[in-house]
Amino acid sequence: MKNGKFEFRVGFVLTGIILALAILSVFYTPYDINLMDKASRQISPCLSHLFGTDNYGRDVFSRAIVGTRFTMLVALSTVGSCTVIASVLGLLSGYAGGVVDEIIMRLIDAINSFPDILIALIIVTILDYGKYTIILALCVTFVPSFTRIIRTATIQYKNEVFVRSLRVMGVSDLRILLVHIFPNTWPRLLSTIVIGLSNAILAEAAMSYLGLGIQPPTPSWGRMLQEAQPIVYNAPWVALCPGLMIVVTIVGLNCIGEGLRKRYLT
Amino acid sequence: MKYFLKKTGILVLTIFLISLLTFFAFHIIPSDPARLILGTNASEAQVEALRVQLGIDRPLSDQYISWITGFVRGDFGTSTKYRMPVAELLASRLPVTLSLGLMALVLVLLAGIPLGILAARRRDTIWEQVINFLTMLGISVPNFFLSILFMWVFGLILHWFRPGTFVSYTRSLSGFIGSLFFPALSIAIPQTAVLVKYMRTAMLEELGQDYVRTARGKGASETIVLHIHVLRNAIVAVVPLIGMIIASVLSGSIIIEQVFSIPGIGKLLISAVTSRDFPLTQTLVVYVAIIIVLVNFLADIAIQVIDPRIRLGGS
Repeated sequence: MKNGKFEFRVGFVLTGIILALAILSVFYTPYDINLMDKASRQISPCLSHLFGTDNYGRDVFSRAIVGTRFTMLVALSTVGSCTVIASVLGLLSGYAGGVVDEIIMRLIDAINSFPDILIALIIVTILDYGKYTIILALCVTFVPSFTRIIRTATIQYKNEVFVRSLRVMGVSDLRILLVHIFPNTWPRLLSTIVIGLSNAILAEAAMSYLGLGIQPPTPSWGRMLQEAQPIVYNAPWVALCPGLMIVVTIVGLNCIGEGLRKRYLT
Repeated sequence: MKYFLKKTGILVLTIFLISLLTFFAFHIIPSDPARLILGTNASEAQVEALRVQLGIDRPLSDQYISWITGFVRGDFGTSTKYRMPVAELLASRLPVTLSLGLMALVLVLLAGIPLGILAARRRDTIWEQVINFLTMLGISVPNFFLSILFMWVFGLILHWFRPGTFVSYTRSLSGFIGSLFFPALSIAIPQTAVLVKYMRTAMLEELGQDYVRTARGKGASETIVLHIHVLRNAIVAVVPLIGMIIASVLSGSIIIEQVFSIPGIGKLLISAVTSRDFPLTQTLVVYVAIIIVLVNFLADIAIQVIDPRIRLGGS
């Protein structure tokens, strides 16, 4: 409990299950995800259809695990690209200070003053729908918090004795930044990345639910929930399956994030 | 006072930046609203006439200035989809969203603060584990999934309310509140979880302070220590969070209004986005962003007023 071991275990098991299903779906799904079959509409969960079928007779479980793949893809590329951009901005801003810092931070502040969903909605309005737009939109909303964390850590290490002695030894600024300061920001960055992943998944699901994210026929959890809503009385499993998969994934990631925080930051 | 002036300056600057960024975001992409409205069959002359009528034939800086001066005067432009002034669209929907947000906020505070105290009071017992587990779950459930569950269980199975129906406040106030209760609850639950988590951490942090030891030393009971000494200090730590929670509640209502089809600002915004109604989207985005910036500004001021240590300019 105290050192976060328990959280780690729970987190790894839950995210492990979801990841395993996502990988499995690349090679094998119980049914074709787009196969519509009038004869097997709204079948309740049974052995042949683990989570039943939807309004068009498509297997919900197959669609949900394929949806995992796309959700993960969006979340990972969002957080990945965001980490790269924020690392550059944060290191630069923290290390250079002065005017550079001022410009970058004012820009970050301006973006930050919009609620996340509004930025995403603006970008979705002016560009076409689809997974690249949603990745861009989420990336822009996450860059401020990531940048801030890296900047704070950079400023903290900039004045440490080991950095000052490196400078006396004549080590170049770039090398100090990349080899000596950047690795020190990882513990903090790591828990931010994990929390960022869970936020990205939630945000992607919300955008897809609104019909502004991944477009059909590609399944995604948010989209499946939207399609399930009108038939929730007759076929609740269609909503429960993707919904519970979101909850399990987020609980898993949050547990890992909490574990990381306890381990490295207290 | 100096602090207040500085904050006001930043507030004005932020609002200006918000309007500027939004305006240019919507004008970076070369698109032709006139063509969009008239469709591909319209003649070039017709399109040109509408361009002049909409004022989009002028340079960008002119358009920005006339848009922002109109905005300040309460003239928000005309929606291309609804073909009516944005101000009218806003006026009928604003009370709905504000009531929904207010209800959600009240629910968050009513549940969050006592639960946070409870979690701190029952630390190192099974209760703490239960509350930790529930907050973890609450943070992890997407609010729109929660609303679908509410519709299914309370709406369709138990018949406590009729999903998809909305009673206007002009018709029946109790019906209005009734139709907003479950939407407000779906927005409130994830935010409550966040509040409980912070509240608990803040309480536990304060419990380790010297003044708590002093209070215990002079014989104060656990109840007195927690509710009189610790709570006041923990609340100060939590006030900045309230600003954030209000922002999240408003963002949450954008999605939840869609789920329950409540005719508020959020539903209007989503329909503006899906129909690519640029003037309407632009105005709504700036409008909502300004509300949220103002709320955060008020939260900052509130901390000043509440906490004498900051008010009197301590270290």
